[in-house]
Amino acid sequence: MKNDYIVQETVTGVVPMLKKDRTYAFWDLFLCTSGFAIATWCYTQGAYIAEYLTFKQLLVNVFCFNLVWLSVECIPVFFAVRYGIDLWIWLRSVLGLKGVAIFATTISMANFGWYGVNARLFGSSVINLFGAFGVTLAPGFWEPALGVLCVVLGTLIALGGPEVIKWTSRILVSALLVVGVIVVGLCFTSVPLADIAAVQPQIEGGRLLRFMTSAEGNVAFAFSWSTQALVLPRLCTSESKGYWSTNLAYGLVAPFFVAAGGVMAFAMFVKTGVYESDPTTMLATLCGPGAALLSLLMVVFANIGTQGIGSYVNCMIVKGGFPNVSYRLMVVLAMVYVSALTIWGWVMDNFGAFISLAAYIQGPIIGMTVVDYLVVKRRKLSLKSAYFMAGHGAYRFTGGFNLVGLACILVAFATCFLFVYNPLTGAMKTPIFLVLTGSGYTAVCGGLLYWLASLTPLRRYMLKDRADLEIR
Amino acid sequence: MKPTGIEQIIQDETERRLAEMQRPDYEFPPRATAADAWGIVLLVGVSAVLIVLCMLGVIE
Repeated sequence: MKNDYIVQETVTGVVPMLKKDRTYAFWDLFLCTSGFAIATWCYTQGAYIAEYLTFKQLLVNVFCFNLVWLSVECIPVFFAVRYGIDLWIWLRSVLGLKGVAIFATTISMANFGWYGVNARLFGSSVINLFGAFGVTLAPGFWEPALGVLCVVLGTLIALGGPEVIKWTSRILVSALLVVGVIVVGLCFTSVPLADIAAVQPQIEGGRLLRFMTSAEGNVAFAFSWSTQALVLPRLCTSESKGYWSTNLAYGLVAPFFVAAGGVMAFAMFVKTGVYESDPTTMLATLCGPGAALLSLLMVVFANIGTQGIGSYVNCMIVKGGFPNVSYRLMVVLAMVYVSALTIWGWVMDNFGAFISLAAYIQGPIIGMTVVDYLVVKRRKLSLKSAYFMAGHGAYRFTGGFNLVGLACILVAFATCFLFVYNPLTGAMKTPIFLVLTGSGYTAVCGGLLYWLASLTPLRRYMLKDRADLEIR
Repeated sequence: MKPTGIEQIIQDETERRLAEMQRPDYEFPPRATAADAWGIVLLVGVSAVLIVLCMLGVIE
């Protein structure tokens, strides 16, 4: 019983994973992370930004902003793999134990908003799929009902833990990648590339403003993985494999499906004059009802897989703050919460504002994480203090909060809202937005403030661990 | 505050694992190499150049 519990706490908990426990090679982590990343929200994201850009600009915007930020924010993966711990254990040294509990919970609650969108899109796509074959389902009832079904099925995968996730991903993601390529091919067959490339942006405004407004969406998209990105790599067998499998899955595979969504939206615009984001409707319109069956894989299985892996990852994040709560209980609670979000539908109706707001909280943490790893702590952490072992109190901060870390988040968040970009109104406040985007600013500002603080007498408060680095 | 049963199990197991990591013969996973660092620099550099070209209107 006790041994079972220890095993469970190792793979679905906060206990460090030793090298001999790791079961994920490059492809396992790559496929698993890709499986998590690929979902209908990719198409939603692609269709959302397609209205702002030309075809070439869309490709650069989607791939390059994601790759730049993912390459940076994944750097701490090296650390996660080395010590077999996830980001949130390390963040105890940046935010304090209670700071982690609050932010881990807040960010996971925000992350679960994506799964509400995911489930809702599952519902609408299945309704459209039935519609393509002449069966009408009332959206008012069936969209949330099918969405909740997606959440429940995903929860069953999450309850199986990493081994079930690994095998689900091996089969599912391989198939999804093939289908993604087929779908893009079908789009180009259905509408000539020259016609797609000739589509001009429909949103009014200057070229640079449109480009950076789309970039805001992509940077926020890249940031949305950040706090989740360092949970799975602890299962991997080497630092390089952990880093590249994570970076390429989030930075290349997910953007590929975003770009596919954009290409489909362009193709739909050429054919119908409307930017459509639902892949089932797009495929049925562009290639006939038979092709819409491909969305069974693209939407139905993909979204269930995403729900499963996402539930595992986000429950692991919350466990960083509440290590004593059972993983299974958390997964079930997550199911109830996401089901409620799915039925409510607010996130789906306010997609752009939602992703930016979530990114504004994650951005400063990304900036501080990278600066802390490379510059302030220089890749050395007191693991014993991070786990609050007896006699190791370097990370016991004021009332459980690292006030420096919290101040950096607060200042970055507030100044971005006031002086850079307000995602609720879509209003640019200063030209800083045209260089960094709002989300990018929060990361740069958070990291810069944290680094500057480390140059002042606050360094003694931030770095009490230098004499406590027993595990190297 | 005294740890609960579950808390104590997690604490004991964590302590045991950290002690194992601290042993001189514990083998950590293979380190990242200079090739990884150059790969990151290259990826970020090429992406940044393409972004700037779009921002300047060279790529329309």
